[in-house]
Amino acid sequence: MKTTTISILTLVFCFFSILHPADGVPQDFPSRTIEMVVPFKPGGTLDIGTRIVTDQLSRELKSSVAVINKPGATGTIGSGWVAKANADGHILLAGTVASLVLSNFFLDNVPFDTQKDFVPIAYAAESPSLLVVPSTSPYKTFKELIAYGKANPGKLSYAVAGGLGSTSSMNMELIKRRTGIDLARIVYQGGGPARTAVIGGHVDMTSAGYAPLRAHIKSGKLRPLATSKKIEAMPDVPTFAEEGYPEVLVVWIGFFAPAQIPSGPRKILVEALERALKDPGTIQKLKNAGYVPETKTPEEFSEQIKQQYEMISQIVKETKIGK
Amino acid sequence: MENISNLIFGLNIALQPANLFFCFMGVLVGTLIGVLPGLGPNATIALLLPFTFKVPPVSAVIMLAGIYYGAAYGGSTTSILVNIPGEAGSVITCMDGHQMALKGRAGPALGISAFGSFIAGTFGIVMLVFLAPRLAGMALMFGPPEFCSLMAMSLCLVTFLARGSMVKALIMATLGLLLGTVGMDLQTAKVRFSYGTPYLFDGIPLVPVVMGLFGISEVLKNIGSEVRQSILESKIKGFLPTLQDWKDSAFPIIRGSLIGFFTGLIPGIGLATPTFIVYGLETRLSKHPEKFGTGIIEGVAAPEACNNATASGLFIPLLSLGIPGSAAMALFLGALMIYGLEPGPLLISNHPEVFWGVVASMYVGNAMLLVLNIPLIPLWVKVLKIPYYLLFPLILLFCCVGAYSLNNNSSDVVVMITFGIVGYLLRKLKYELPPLVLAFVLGPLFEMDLRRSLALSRGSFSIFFVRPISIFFISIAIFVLALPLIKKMLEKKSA
Repeated sequence: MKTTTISILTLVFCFFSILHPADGVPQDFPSRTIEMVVPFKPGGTLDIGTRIVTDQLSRELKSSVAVINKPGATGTIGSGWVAKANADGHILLAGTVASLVLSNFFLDNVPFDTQKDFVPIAYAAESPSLLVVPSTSPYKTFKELIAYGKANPGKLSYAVAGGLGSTSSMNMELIKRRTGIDLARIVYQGGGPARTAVIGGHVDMTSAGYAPLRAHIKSGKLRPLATSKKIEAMPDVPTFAEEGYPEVLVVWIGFFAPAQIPSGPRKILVEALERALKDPGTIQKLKNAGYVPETKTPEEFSEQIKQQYEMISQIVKETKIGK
Repeated sequence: MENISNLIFGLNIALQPANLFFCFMGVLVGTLIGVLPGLGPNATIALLLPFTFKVPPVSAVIMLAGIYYGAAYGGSTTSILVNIPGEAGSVITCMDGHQMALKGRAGPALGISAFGSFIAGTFGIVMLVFLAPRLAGMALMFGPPEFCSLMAMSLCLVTFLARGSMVKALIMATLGLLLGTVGMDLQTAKVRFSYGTPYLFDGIPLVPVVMGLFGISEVLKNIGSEVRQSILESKIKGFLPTLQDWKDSAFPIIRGSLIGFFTGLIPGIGLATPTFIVYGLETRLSKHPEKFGTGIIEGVAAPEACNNATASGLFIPLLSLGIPGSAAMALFLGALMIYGLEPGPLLISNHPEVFWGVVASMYVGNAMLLVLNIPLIPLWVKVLKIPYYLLFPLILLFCCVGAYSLNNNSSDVVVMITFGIVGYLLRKLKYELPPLVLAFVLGPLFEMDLRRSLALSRGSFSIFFVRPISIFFISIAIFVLALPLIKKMLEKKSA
């Protein structure tokens, strides 16, 4: 009696497991929930921007899009997972400079090569990088800060989030090497603690994205001295280029698919994301979160990544950062 | 006082039917999540975030906040009943809580834990209402030297957690320190002990380790054991704490709340460290220190009050400065930003209905949780009567699901199981686990802040001795270390 029950149950389960939703067929794309992998912890800058866009994307595609967080190793664990995942177009990656460009240079055993394993499908927004000092600091302009640093080596410190693979760290390194001032490097495990240390006046400066800094600048706790791109809300903050240091990185967020994605789903995704990123509600939400919405075609995006790669290799060669 | 009128304004918002509903849903979901070992509020909040876009921001934040401290309440339930911590902040509760359950006193343990949490939560909210801006300023005074000294002091308290052989406890602490070194050293970007695995770049993650060491090892320990069967037969003595229990717990709850709240203000302190500090303190201050660990009510009341007070304390830097003190707080920050609300000093002035509505709803939520949890105690106690062969596989299932849900990474489950086996072996050999966990958590923090301080001071150790807060913690550390010597000298004198 028992064996009969078990065999019947087994047959029933086998039957159900054969019934599979059809996948990989272009006309039926998307045929199940799309997974957008964010390779960072929830609540971070990339995570917020991704959630805003995927909210609109699911409306454009008339299908559900779920955000899955797979944090670790500055975004390389999650990104590596997507690189090896099923490339039928249902698994996508949210990426940023730190996880896809800097990681290839500064981390060991990175399980992917950005330019070979991924194709960009949308460029969502930029987060201008700002150099900030606490409001209690005596330096009102970038020039003053640099002048003090040059005249008094060994006095100033700067906070960075994470190791060399983070954009704030990279930008501070660039500034340090170009200006030649001696700054003490204070490393924190994330943007949050690094900013807190600067707000509290324990460290003299940091470089971070506009998104996380906006609230603190508005409330007066932090003073911006320079930015990588002009921000309409703060027109009198000079850009790094105006001050004479054009190499600061542009921090972008974008979406990618594994390189083997078939062209049908890819086209659908590119167009849906284009529409999503043009939606005024989405643009406003991105602005509220501190991004500067900006779009590029996937080809322009690939080109920009290539240029950033070249720039970083050049800098690494010249200055031997990290080696 | 203007704050009282603000609070009434907030209560008006919190008590609207829609918001009451969201609050209730939040605390209910939070309690369930907290009770299930491993599943934490972070995963739940992240999962529910998209759903909250459809509702007005105040209601959304009310619900998310409810989940958060509902989980803090629920986490103690599994600690007491089955010796498996629901989250890092409940590890200490296991020690006396479970012993009480084995003696048939699970009801009072759960009861005092619920009441203690309520009192601590209320205390936290009162402090939030009246002192939020000033307290937030205090949090900013903690720079690397202050953190380093605080960690040093906490590490000295490790010795208080040792019940048996001191040597064995120190071995465990050293092992904890060694395990804490795994991962990338941020200052030099060199990875230690990762053996080439990217997963270990960020170090061995804490929650799977705790779940394995305490949870999985507990399950392994009980396979084939006869001890439990006696519980099934023993009578459950009462469901609520007795008057004597209340008398004993009064001061521990007060001390737990105070210490928990003020340490919660320090961003990054986490929920586990304050409970260790409070437990160590209670053993020293108690008239019967040797009884700790055998199942006394103070050992449950103090840590439980503490972790609730810490949870409230963490909201202050977030709401008033926009600084998240923990991963869950970072989620909140993200959620607030998506809704277009900027946390920070401007939140109170630009969106007073959000700030005061949320604060008032925290009070309502705490009351709801008390009302929810007390009648459930007899039900929870019955859980102990479930035969092992049903209960433990379920627990294993929840632990595995919980560990995976942390980061959607199956390696976390592997870590948990590995440490489960390690924990089982250690327990069989009569080594104590709390010193290991404490050192594992504090060691890396201590090292990082030590190096940051030295980087700031360009190599000079004097930075620790010129800043008042740092001097304070160092003096306590030295005092704690010297205490046995002093005691000995005093005994010699009187002999």
